[in-house]
Amino acid sequence: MNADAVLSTPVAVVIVAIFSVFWVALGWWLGRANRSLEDYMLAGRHVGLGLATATAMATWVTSNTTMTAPQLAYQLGIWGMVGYSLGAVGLLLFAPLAKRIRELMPHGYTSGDFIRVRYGRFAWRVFLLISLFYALGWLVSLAMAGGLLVEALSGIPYAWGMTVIVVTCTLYTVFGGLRAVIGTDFVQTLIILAGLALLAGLVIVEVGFEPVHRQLAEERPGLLNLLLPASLMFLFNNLLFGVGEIFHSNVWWSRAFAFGEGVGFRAYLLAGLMWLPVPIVAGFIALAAPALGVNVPSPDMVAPLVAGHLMGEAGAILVFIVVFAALASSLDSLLAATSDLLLNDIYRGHLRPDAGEAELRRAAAWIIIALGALAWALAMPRLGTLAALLHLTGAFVASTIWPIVFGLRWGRGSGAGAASAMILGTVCGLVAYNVIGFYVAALVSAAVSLVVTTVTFQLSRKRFMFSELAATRATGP
Amino acid sequence: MTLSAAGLTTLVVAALAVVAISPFILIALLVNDLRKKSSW
Amino acid sequence: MLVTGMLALVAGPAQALELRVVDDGHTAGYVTLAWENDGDVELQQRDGNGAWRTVYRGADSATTLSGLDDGEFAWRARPAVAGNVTTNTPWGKALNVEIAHHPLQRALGFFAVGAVMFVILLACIALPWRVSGQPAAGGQP
Repeated sequence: MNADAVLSTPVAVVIVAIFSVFWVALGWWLGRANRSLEDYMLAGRHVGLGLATATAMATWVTSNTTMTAPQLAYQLGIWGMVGYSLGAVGLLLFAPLAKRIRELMPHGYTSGDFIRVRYGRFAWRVFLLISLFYALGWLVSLAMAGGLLVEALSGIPYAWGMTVIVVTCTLYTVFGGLRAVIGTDFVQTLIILAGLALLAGLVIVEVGFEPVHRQLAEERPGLLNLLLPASLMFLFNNLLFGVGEIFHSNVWWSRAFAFGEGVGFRAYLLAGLMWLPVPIVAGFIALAAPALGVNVPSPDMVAPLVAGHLMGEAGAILVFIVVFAALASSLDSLLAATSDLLLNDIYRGHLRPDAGEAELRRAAAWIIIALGALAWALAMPRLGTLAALLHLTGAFVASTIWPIVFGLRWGRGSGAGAASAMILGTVCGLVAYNVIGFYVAALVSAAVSLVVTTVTFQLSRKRFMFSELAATRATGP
Repeated sequence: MTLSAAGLTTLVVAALAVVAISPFILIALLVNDLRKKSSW
Repeated sequence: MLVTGMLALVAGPAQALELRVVDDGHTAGYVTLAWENDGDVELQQRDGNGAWRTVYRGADSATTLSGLDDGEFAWRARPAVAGNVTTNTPWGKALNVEIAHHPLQRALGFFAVGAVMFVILLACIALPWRVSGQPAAGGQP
């Protein structure tokens, strides 16, 4: 056994119980004001700047930011950690897009709406496949990460930890819709930021920069190497992976629709700037491991190991709370946005085009519950291969960047062109993943998609009328 | 090419400073929104 | 954010003090080794100069080595009682791993492709946007 369980099980049970009840109560309380479907799905379309910034930040900080950023710092060194922080570029670049999207589609509901109106039904279906594969992969991986982390940190069995996290998030999302998601995100952001700052501050005070650097230079000089080849390859790959995730996913589009007029641009910009340093701070905690003489049996646990070593039980509690908040803030957003996509693009778009508001409102709640149950069922068998599937999503999502960006900017392009850019990009990205490594999949996918999109835009004679988008409502085609 | 101790210090201190003040900025923005009643 | 995840947490059974690679980053300079044991273990590493040195001693059943340079590395392990070496315990079979980073040129090639795409993306997004509702006349990507 590796010396994992750093927190005693009873303490962890109490923390989980307190926070679960708190999140559900807060979500229910925030959701009282929901009247219409638009309230439920998009929080009434006028979320203010403070909540908007916090929700964008919190959703983008996942358990992976607090666990994988340290892991990459430990494996790929300085560029691993800085490369991870370039994930913020996705948020920054989405700022102008969010403004554009809200102007073009004041009544839109999902990213699927845009692709359907802009590129037609075939490209829409390809896009929905990519989008739902990604969303489900992320959802299941978050649920699994939750179970694994809770077990590793506290000894609470995997099945219990995973179940509690999924049930808690599903409950408050069902009760409160997007309002609950955004409101809880705000509190979760504060917890994550304060916790990380405290931990990094402690590392600096207890260990100091000089010893950390000296030990790295002696024992693991490669980690300080600014020309480490794999890290150089990883740098833009990670940037494009993040851009692909944000540009296509309805998690971010639904927020663009939900934020008040003129809020989206500033909120995404600010969230990006605030997110940028988070992986660096989290990564630094990992770099202190050699100086502290901490052995790292599995690199994704390096952060809690260092915290436990430095602060004992208090450190373990802190990491536990931060990780729990990071998990919940992403899981809830993903549940809400993916169920929006299922409701709008599958249920109304494909199954029941004539559904009325009352029916959709009921369906929305049931879809969230079904999605939570599906994620739970897939996470239950604890298949490592399932978590591995998630690494493949870089190839999928990066292929959507150019059809979206070009499609928002220029009137040319065709459905067939967009669809082939997404399909070819994904295929080539998957090949690169297997032949070269995980750190080039998104890069190759985006490069191929760029070439195909550029060529098909140049060749197309069609001119899209952007005014068509303004009429987009959530009705079936 | 290796990152120096000074480089590491600068990078981490700058990052930590932003992380540490972010919660205060967020709270200030929220308070401002609530005052203007533009939160929801 | 996604990227790599929880794989390394899963470990299966193996022979006593036989080392195995559970996370292979030999083109990136890191490797996670695992072993099965009941008590403390001493782990040694042999790098380019041929001398063995102890890199870990303790009760964990895995460790991650990183920041390794190009070259032929070997690791071996043996039981160590309560942190003190029991000299007569034989070493297990040595595990050899060749660390070979991607050639810098290839890495810079990918870096350049990424950088070019980033600049194009930046231009597409930062340049002024047309007023909404207008037909986009002859826009060139």
